[in-house]
Amino acid sequence: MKQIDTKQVGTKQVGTKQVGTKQVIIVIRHSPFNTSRNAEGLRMSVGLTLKNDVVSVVFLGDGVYHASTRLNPKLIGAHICDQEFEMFNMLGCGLFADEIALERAGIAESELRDGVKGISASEIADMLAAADVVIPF
Amino acid sequence: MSILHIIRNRNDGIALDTIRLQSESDGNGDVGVLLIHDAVLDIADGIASVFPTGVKLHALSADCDARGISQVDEACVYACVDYDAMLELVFKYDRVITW
Repeated sequence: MKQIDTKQVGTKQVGTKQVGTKQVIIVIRHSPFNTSRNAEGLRMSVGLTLKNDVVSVVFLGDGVYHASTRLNPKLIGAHICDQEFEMFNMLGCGLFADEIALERAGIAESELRDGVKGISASEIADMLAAADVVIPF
Repeated sequence: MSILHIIRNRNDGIALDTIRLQSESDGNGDVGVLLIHDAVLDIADGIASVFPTGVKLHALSADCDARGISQVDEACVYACVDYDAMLELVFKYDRVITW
C-alpha cells in the first residue's frame, strides 16, 4: 500500500498505517435518459471506492431522476445501474439528492432508491466546498 | 479554503447556484469563477450580476475572441486571462471544480 504524507489533510488510521484519504464527490446532474454519462459516472464511482478514499454521490438538477425508484430506463435500453446502487449501499457510500430538485421532479422521499437522502442545496454546496475532489458528470 | 469553479457551458444553473451558495456561506474562503468554452457567452447575458460581490470572475480570452466577444465589460468581469494565467489560477486555488 502506498505510504502517504501524514501531514496531508484528511488522514485516517487504517490498521497500523496512516493512509491518506480523500473526500471524493461525484455529481450526477443530467437525466439518465439519452446518455450513458450517468451510468459512466456511477460506474466510475464504484471504481473509486477501491482506494481508501471516501466516495459520495450527489444528485443535482435532472440527475435526481436517477435516484428515483419510479424509473424504468430498461424500456428504452438505457442503463439502470441497480448493481452500482447496491454496491454503494454495501460499501456505505453517501448518496444525496437535492431536495429542491426532488420537489421539482415530483419525487417523494419514499420514492428514492435505498440509501439516498434528500438534503438542502446549501448543505450540498458546503459538502462540495469541503471535498478534496469533485467530479461533475 | 479557496475554490475555483471552471464553467464550460452556457446557462449552467446548477454550477451558478452552487457558486452562489458557497460564496454566501461563511468559511468557504475565496470563490473564483473561470468561464471557458461556450460559458464565455454568458458574459453578454450579464452573468456577473448573478454572483454576490467578492466572487472573482475570469474569462478565457482565447474563447472570448473565438466567439467574437471582443469588448469584455471590465466593470463586470474581474479579469480576462490567457492560457498561462489560466494555469496560474488552477494552481493558485486550493480546489478546482470543473463543471
